[in-house]
Amino acid sequence: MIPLEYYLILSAFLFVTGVTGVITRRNAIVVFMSIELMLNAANLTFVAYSSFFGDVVGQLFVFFVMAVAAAEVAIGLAIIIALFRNKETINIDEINILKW
Amino acid sequence: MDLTNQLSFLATLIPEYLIILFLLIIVFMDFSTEKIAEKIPAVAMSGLLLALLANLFMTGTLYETEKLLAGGEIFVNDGFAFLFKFMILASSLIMVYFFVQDDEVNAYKTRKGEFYILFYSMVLGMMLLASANDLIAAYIALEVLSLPSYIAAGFLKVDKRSSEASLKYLLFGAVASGVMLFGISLLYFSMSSTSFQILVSNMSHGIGFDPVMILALIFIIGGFGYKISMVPFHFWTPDVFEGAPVSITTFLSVSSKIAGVAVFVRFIVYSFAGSNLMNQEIAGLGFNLNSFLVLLSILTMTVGNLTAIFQNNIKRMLAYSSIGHIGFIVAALAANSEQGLIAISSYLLIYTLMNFGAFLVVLLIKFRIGSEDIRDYKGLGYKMPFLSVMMVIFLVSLAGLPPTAGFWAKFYVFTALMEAKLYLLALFAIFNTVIGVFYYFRVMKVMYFEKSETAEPLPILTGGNKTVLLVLGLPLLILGIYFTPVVELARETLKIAGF
Amino acid sequence: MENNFILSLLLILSVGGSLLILLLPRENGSLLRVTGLVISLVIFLVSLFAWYNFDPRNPGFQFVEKASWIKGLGISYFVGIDGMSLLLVLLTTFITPLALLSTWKSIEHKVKEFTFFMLLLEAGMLGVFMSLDLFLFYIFWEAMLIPMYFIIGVWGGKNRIYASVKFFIYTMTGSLVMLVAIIWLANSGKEFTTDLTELYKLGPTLGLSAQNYLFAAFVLSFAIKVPVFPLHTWLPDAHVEAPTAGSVILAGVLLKMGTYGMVRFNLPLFPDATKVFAPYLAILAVIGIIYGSLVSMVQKDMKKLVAYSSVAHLGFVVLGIFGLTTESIQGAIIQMVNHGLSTGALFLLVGYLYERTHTRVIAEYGGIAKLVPVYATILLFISLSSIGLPGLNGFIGEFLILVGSFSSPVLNNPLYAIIAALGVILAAVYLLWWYQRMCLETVKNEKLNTLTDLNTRELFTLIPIMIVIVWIGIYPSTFLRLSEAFSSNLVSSITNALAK
Repeated sequence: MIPLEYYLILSAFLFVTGVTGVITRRNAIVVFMSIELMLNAANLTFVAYSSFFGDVVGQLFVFFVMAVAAAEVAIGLAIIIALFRNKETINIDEINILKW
Repeated sequence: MDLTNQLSFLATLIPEYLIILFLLIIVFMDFSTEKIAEKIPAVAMSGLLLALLANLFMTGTLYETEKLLAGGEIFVNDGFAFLFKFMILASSLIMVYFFVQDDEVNAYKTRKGEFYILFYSMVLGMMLLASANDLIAAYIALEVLSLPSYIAAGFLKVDKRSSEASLKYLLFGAVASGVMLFGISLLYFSMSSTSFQILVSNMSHGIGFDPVMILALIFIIGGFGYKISMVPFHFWTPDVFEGAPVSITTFLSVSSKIAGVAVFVRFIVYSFAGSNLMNQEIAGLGFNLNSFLVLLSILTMTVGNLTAIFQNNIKRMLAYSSIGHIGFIVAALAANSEQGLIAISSYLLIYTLMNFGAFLVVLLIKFRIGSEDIRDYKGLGYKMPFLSVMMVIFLVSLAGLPPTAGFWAKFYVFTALMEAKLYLLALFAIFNTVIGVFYYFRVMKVMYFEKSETAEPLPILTGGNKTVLLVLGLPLLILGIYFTPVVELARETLKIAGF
Repeated sequence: MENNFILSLLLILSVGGSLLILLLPRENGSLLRVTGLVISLVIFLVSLFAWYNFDPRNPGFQFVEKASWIKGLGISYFVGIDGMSLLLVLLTTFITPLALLSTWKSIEHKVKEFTFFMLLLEAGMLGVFMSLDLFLFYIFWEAMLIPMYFIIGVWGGKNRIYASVKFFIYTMTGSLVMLVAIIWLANSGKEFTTDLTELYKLGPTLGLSAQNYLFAAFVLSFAIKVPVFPLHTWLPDAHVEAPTAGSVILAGVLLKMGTYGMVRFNLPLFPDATKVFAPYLAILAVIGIIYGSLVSMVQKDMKKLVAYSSVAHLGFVVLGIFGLTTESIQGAIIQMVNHGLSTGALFLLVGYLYERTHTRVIAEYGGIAKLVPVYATILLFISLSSIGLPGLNGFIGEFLILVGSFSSPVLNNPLYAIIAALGVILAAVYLLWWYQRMCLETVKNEKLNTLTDLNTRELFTLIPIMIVIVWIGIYPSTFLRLSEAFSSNLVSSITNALAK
């Protein structure tokens, strides 16, 4: 059987990939996909722990997270489309009217 | 938990049921004829009012039976939750008035119903946040609040700034919640539970902090910190506040922060306070959670206030100033005492009043002079005397000077800090109050000391405007002279909170 | 004691009066002015009544009123006056109507707001001098800032915005430090209390290091207000930009709040720390005297000259306070009153001249004694009182301070008094030289030929001050005996505390 630590390492790897994507990529949709990777990293941890120790809470949580993620994507894509109609770009560097 | 307990807990959720019920009613009203749809704001208001009354009634019952805690592992309804739900519902009630006044939002006639549906989902999310007692519940409630607010920030579809604000909010928000979720999963991994109390019970069995846990805690605090715009998780705040319609900005800076503070306080207090974990040194790092909070608080108030000085857009200025206020609340939390919690509750009550007031003035001015730039406020003190006097009250209160209630709010934070012997933090709080005076008074200075270039008369205020301004402003003055009721309220609700 | 309600009556009259002003119609300027004046005169009469009923032999607080305010924290509405506060309350109620009268013509727009703020300011000042609860004191102390900010900012000169913000930020910083010190002090007893009479018992029992920190925090706030060198830089700006009435109130009463605070709080609450800090504050005071005098000498602007002379005069007061002998504290208290009268009158005179010529540059004047003889005579009279000519008020205060601090056991060095005495000579130099350049010599500026002398209204603002000046100069015991019991009691209680 695969030890629990391996799952944790995989999920950490997924999470770091997600974060890197968020920081380095400039296309809003790709950034969004990277965020989904982060969520899935968390899901993996939950499921792994849950099945290892027979605790149902983790699996329950994963269903909630999946639903939330789906809603987030729906809203996110809608907002990206709205922005594209206004500015004709989804490059994050060009979204810069508001500055601190 | 046995069945009767469960049922009595379900009964305490009546305000939430009412909100859901009215949410559905609004959805159906939006589907039907235009004439019915016009009544939506009134219906929204009465729904909130009913929920508010139900909430008060439930508080009374809870208080009479002297039951410390209603509910169970995932949601709790205690005095603290009821106090915060009271603030959330009351502030939402005023929010509806803002929406009615906000001509930017009203320009989208056909989408009015949609707007209130979003608003009601946010209210539901906030109420759930106030009683969340489990990281799963907190996460879900946070998303129920966040998802509609992304849309609301971008409600002005054709406005570039609004949709830009919306995307920024969405991206920062999604990243923050992703990070927080990962933190939760790590905590679950090392503690095998997601309940707020789990840390205390595990720690008391001799399990100390391990690296995975510390990472998890930082991630989770980051997620909450994002919602209440605590530095360094605050980057979204000014941009979103500037881009969003004024009414939504108000909502994000006041109501949604109340809910965020509620869950953050409960998380910190339930997980750490009551044990000496707050002051237990984290292995190998040389500092404890308490000093971490102190650090966050200093950063938050200093960055917020210093940046506020340089803002010319008044919405941005208020955004940064609200970051500064959050710093004060985190400071009171770091005091880790009953006095600190009382200070938080009373600070938030006053914060709601004065910030609502200031934003309402900004909104009313915006649709009269068409600008949000402080430099365009020249001479308003004489053109709109009533509005300006009210603004002075709100600003003086925000700055924390007597004889307004804002002073007392700050005073109780100071008292809590001195009792906890956090002298350094108190010094920073002083320093920040002075900076605050500087930029709040700048607005007054422009309104009163500088002369307007044009003399054209401005549209006058309606009686309704004046009434609402007075409702927000007079309590600040009255409580400024006699603040005891606020503190007693905060103390009583904490008593039945079982903290 | 009877007449217990009298202090609250003073506060109610000034706050209620200011609210009454708000109800009057905006257009009717003279009605507003008359109402404001009448209210302030009524307040003055009430304070005279308090004086009449005051028992000078009793060193404790009189006319005490106490009502619980915030239960959990032991904060109460607690007012009362002793000899020192009575003198300052009288000064406040005496100066305010004069200041209102002085602006009869010069404030033309927003009369309503101006009168409102002046009365509110009076309420704040009275509250500061009467509060016996540290917390109440703090509230009045802060609340008074806002009217002053507006008075400078709305009716001030060219740089008024800069001056008002600077004034505000300086005072605010100091007072917040004081707030923290108040909370600390209130917290250090068995239970949280801000009752001054309780704290008088508690304060001296604290350890030396705690006393030192608390003393420093309090004194910082007061020193900014006084202002003690080197915290004085806000003062010239505020004075130059403020309207005449603002300057008069600022110099006449506001600055005294700092020195009042030192005597009321620093000395009795922290006697051990007072002993540690006294020499340093005395050094700063002496530097202030010399520095203020020298800088006044080279000023081109009359108002700045008077402003810097304030720094010098208040240096005397601070020296007297930290001389810690009965004479020097008596002198300091009477000097507070003197400075309020003399400098207030000087600001009035400068203001009247400015209203006529719209310039404050000394070099543009000369020989006006021939053109406006009455004005020149009064100016000479006031200048001499400010210098400290025997027979006028300034002499009494400075003499007592110098005598007291010369033999002070705490300072233990006559050098302070000797150097300070140099300041008296310097005062004569800069004031008389100014007088010479202004009033004597020949008329160089042709514009001055149209200058008119003081009118009746203006005389009415100056003559009362002159009467009191002569009164104090010739028969000071009317006033000295009010504060005598207080001062000797204060000094002996400090000596006792130090002896332990």
